[in-house]
Amino acid sequence: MRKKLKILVVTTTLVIVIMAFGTTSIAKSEIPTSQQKVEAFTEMALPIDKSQYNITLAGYFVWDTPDIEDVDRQLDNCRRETYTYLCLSDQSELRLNYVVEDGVLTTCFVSVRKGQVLTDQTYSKLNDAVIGFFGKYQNFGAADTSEMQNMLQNTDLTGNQTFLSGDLKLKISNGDYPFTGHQTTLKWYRVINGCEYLELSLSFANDAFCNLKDVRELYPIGDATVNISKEQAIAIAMQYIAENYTYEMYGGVWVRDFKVNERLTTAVLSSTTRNSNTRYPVWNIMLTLDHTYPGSVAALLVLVSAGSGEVLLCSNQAEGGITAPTDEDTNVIVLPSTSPSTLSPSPAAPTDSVPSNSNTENAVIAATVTVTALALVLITLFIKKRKR
Amino acid sequence: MRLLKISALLLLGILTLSVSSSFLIESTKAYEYGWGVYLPNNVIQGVDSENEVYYSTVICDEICWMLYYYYTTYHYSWYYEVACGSQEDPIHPGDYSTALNNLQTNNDKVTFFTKGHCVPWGYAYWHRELLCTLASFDPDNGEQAKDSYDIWPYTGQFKNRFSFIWHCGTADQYPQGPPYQDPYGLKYGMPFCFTHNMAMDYYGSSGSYVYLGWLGTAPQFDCFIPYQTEGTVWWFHFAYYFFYSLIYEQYLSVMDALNILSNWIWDEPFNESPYYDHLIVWGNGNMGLSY
Repeated sequence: MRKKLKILVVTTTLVIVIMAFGTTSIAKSEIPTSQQKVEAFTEMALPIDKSQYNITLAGYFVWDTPDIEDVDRQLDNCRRETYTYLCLSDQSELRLNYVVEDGVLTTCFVSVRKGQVLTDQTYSKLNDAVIGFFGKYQNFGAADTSEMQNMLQNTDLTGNQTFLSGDLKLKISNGDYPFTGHQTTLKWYRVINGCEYLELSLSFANDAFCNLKDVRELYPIGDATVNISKEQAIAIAMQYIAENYTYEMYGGVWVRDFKVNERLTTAVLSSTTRNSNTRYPVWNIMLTLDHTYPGSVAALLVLVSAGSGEVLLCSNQAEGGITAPTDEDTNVIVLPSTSPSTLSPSPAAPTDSVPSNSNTENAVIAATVTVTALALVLITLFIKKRKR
Repeated sequence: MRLLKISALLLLGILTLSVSSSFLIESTKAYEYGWGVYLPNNVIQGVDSENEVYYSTVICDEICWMLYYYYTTYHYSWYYEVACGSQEDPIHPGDYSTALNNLQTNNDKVTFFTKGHCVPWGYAYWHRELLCTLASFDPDNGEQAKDSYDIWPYTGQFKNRFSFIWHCGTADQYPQGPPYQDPYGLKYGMPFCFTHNMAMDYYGSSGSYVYLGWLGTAPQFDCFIPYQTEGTVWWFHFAYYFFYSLIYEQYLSVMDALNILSNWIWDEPFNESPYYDHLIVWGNGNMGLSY
């Protein structure tokens, strides 16, 4: 009997232990790797004061593709996941947005909803804040950034300028934007055979981290050979549109025989990942047409591989209408180039507030109550008078 | 006796007020959210290519379904107007007017998206008109939804809180000061005529309205986005994922969605991208689809 009891106890204990382990492992496996990565970044690299914020996962979605037929217009097969976290404190409210592509955390940006970003450290110079971020980013496990950090030593980050160190180019831009305030963006490019391959883009708004895009791990640089010159690329594009390119209009009419305004032709060498897991150089040839063709087509964009000369794509550049004559002709008040001056409300138009129907209801209720009260008082008076 | 008469009159007043108030409250009873998606394709004029018609129809249809999903999932009541299921709607300017009027009459708040063409008209070309299916540029055949005649009078209840007007020149011509009308007394510009709000900030972050439109030309859907690093993105993807982000993540705002797209397509935040100052956000960029 005692032996049986022992066996029962041991078995029960084993079952409980196994169940506990099982639950733990299930619970762990429920958190996807991408989420673990995102939360590790928040913990280790994001330069905000985590102790002051209550951080919670607010949303997650995987990018679904629209239901379209044409293979040429399908996106790549990359799996994109987006995470949004709410960061709440008494003085500040933030949204942390992350994009994980094929398991690689490539994008993080912070949007401020209330107050200012509570940073984990204060720096006297933006250079130090950027270097400080890179230190944490390395600890998180990002690819090496020491070369980028070296370029920041004694570099003035306040203007718009470009620096070159070996084949690494740093472009610095500063701007004041209505939505974010003063923003400094640093972009590092690897320059190979005249083509710039973005490695990392980092932005700070009002001296606080606001945006990171790091493509080094997701899209490494592949064959960077450039065999096709700008002139050759333009010639290839011109030949392609003359011989091959056409598009269909309503009623089975095909548009072809395009005439190009050669004076306005541009060719830009950039990198692409089209049909590839690595980046390679491509010529973007923009051919402005001599007039607007059927379908509102004003230009043709041709992508020519800078390595092979193959035409990768030709797309018309159509517009949704025509623009007005210039301002000088019309004296029109148009959009300001910077943020507009403060606008004062007009008696003819509402301000930015939401009118509510409840006002009408409230007025009706108030009137009813007043009249009822008055009627009751008068009836009481009348009854009293009659009694007398 | 006099008091009795007064009392009787007052009681009659109560009765009248009760009846009228019930009517009034009934008439103001509205759905919480209304939304509309419009696609006037100019197939008859040959203004759009066959591919443009196809992709616009498919994507606007997807946006319709996404909005339907969103507002039925997150909000208890809704009402919608859709004209994107065929190549012909909306045929006449009155279709816009009717839709906008129905939306503002039946709802507390309205989300509106339309994609198509737009041209200037009127005094010194201050005005804009959305081309309908039977539109033509010259001569004016009256088949254009004019800002002051076909939009403004049907949005006067200030319900159009979230608008995305994907037509040319729909972000410019926002009056920057009184008198908010042309010398003939006509209200002008799509931002003002859709919202009736003259205090929306340029890429603002506060207020109860957000309006997106294009400064100058609007790209057509079946066009490859220039100078991207991604290599596979067309403008119809941009429109699709703009709404997709807002719909599948309700904490995202308009500016968040634009930042996601910009980081994906150009590897940089939206205000550094080639289309900042071109795709304009008037009003509160912190707004999402629940507002």
